[in-house]
Amino acid sequence: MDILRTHPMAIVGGILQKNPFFVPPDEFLRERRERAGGTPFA
Amino acid sequence: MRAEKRAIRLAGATLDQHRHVCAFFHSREEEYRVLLPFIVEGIEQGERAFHIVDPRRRVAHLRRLQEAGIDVSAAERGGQLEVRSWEEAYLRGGRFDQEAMLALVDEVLSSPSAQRFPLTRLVANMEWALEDRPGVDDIVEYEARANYVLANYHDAVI
Repeated sequence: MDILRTHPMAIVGGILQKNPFFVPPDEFLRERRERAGGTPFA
Repeated sequence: MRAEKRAIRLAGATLDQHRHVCAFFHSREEEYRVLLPFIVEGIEQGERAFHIVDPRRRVAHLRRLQEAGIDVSAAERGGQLEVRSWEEAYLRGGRFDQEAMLALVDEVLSSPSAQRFPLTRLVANMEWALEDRPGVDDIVEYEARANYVLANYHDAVI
């Protein structure tokens, strides 16, 4: 679930915790561009 | 006390420098059980509350705040509390526009209204993203890019 990967913190089960699925935005957006078939230099 | 050093308690823990929080709730009761103490703490500490809600739930939301001990009318009048509907924030113009929304978040956190308070606690309900709204596919990219905007502030965003 991509939305969870965009938040450094998460509340799950009523408890706040560091989100282990978080991906820093530079890396996350690069991955998305690559998945969409674009090139990072376009 | 400097804003960034204030304790921000939320859901059984204290928020540190990472203040962009994703929250999933199983029920409305769980949502308010978790969020109300966070909202009330902010109001009591003299901070600003900016909420984005489902317009169909605006009245019920204000009632929850009132029942939790917040003087809603006074807080709204004094600019400490602002409650906007989805259509006044995420869905302005009838669709989700990530550029417009990133600009709005930046504006909300940097505006003269925000400057009057040491911190803003922004609570944004995003259940509209579960509905088939125009532009909804951009929501994930928006959330990733929001981290760049929020890095400029100490405010807490849920």
